[in-house]
Amino acid sequence: MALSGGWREYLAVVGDRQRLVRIEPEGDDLRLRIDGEEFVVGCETAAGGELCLLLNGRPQVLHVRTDSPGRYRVSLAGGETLVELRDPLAARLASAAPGATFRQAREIEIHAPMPGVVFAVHAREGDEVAEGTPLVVLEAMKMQNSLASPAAGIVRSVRVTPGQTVDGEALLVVIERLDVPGDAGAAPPEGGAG
Amino acid sequence: MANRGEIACRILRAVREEGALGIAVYSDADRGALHVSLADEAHRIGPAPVAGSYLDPAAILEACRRSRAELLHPGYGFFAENADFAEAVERAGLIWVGPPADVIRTMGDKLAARRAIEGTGVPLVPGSGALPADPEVAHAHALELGYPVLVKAAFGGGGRGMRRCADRAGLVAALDLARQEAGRAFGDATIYLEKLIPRPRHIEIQILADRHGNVIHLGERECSIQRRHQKLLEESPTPAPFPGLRERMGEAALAIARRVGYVNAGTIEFLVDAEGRFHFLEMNTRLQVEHPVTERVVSFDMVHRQLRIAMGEPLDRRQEDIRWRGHAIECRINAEDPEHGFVPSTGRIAALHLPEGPGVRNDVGIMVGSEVTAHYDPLLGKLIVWAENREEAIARALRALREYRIAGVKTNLPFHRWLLTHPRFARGETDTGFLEEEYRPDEVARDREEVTAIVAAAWTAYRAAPARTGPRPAGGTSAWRQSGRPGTASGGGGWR
Repeated sequence: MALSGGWREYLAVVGDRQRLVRIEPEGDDLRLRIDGEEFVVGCETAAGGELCLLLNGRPQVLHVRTDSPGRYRVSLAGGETLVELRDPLAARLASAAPGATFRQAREIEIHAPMPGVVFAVHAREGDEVAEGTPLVVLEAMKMQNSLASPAAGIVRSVRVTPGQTVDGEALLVVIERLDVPGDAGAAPPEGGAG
Repeated sequence: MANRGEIACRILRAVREEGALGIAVYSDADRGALHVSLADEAHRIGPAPVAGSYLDPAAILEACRRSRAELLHPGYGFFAENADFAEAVERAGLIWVGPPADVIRTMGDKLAARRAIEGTGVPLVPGSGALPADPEVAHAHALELGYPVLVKAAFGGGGRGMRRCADRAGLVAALDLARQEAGRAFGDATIYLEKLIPRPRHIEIQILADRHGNVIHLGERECSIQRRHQKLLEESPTPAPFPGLRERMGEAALAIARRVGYVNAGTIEFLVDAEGRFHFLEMNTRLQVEHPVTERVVSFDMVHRQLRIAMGEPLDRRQEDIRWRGHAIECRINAEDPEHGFVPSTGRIAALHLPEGPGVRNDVGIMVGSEVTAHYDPLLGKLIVWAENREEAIARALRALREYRIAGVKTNLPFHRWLLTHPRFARGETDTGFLEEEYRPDEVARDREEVTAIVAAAWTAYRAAPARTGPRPAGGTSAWRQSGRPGTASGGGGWR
């Protein structure tokens, strides 16, 4: 079927990376521009979440699930990528000062990558940690998995204790990054000038 | 079939092919599992945690009684190497598909196993006996063996309770920790020393023995691709360039099997050093995960033989009947994230497409809808390929991996694609340190996948709600810029 409708833009968030995506119809296909790279996307089949897309003429078989509005879990080649699509306009309005570009979050939340039992907690509130410092050891599937800090920072909050059973994606630790410059003009509201 | 997952499926299929009735057991988490659907009868044995189900002897024996089962196959893991359970099964009047309980007991104790095979002429990794509490005695042993040494638990397995020590200080520090770890994990704190063999290959010999004194070996499997002592890829024959290795190791394996009175399928693991000298490591008294690799190169079914041997039939092949042909590779497909330290991944299987085509076999334990939970190990299935030589087998495995599609969990498929395209792997220069030295997640491939994923997500979102804005703005400017500078929207030239 020929696609009708105008262009749209999305802000695609994968992990801590954001990319601007522009999409518009082109005949039966769609033309996408991601960070300056162009794709013409045709669809061969789509059934039960499974898609066969022609990406600039290259077939790609993928599976897409939507678990909540704007969140897409895309399985491709045995890996899985969580893509969040946001409205770029709203995202810009939400970012504090006028003219500000997207800033990386200063706080990083460490979530359990899978359900399991907390085996050990190395992080203590107030600790300064380097990238790679082990924070929590989670036991799941008979394996102990050490979860490390993804960046240098200060441990702001520890939400679990050893022996505790946690669900997948449960919040474990909050780190405040030291490598993201905090500019004096845009202090967080609670720490703002009194 | 006192197990779950892919191995339960594998064995239930063989049982049905033998014309017998296959009986499955399941925990609450496995009510709708693939292995249950492949059985003639299925019995609930308890809740999802293994202690109350697959590792509860009373629950399994009760299922045997209810179903009037005649044989019990333990698979691998769970009770497969538990001598007390094997005895309990026989006491309950069933046939245990495996070796006699006393053989399991001997080989499960690494020190007893070493004592048992002394005198067969099979080389052991040089080592000590059980260590007394005094660290100086351990140090004296270590000096005799030569540092570096490994502290090992007599009842250990899977690399737990094992520590590498380069000198006296390291050894003294490791002894107590190793004892504690061994005591906790295996219920016995006995430890001993082994000399560390640098950069070994892990090569094992498959054997089969019947109750009538016939023992044959089915050649070797190379299993050096390991991460923290967990095998990820196995192949046969070994790419190791040592002539006559199969014959010499095969003879050694037969000598060990005869010495301990082995019956049924078993595997003898060796470490092979850079000069091609091999040393007995341990014996696994069960069917191995990687048995299909051997089945493919010797062209026969091992599980059928296991069942017939258990029923008292003699082996239908002699050593001289065994012929090896071509090359087989097995990739273990695990629910884990190779980009982030191989952490296990859980979820519901949303889609599954298995590769097909010439020379491809899939042993899987999942189907669409299966829940992959943290209660069980992360093995989803095994991809086994066969081709006429190693080079073609690698190409075929890679081709099959590209066809493989699983949605719902992260898998180590990207890892296998990385491995099979690695030049050092292609040259067959594998040892147990390979992954630690070589593996880095492929960032470029990852980045391409991310972009493709974004395309798919955007495509899906757009299809769901294509029309929102009016006519497209000229010149490819964004809505933000357009609204900010309305005067330039008509021409678009101002934005070059």
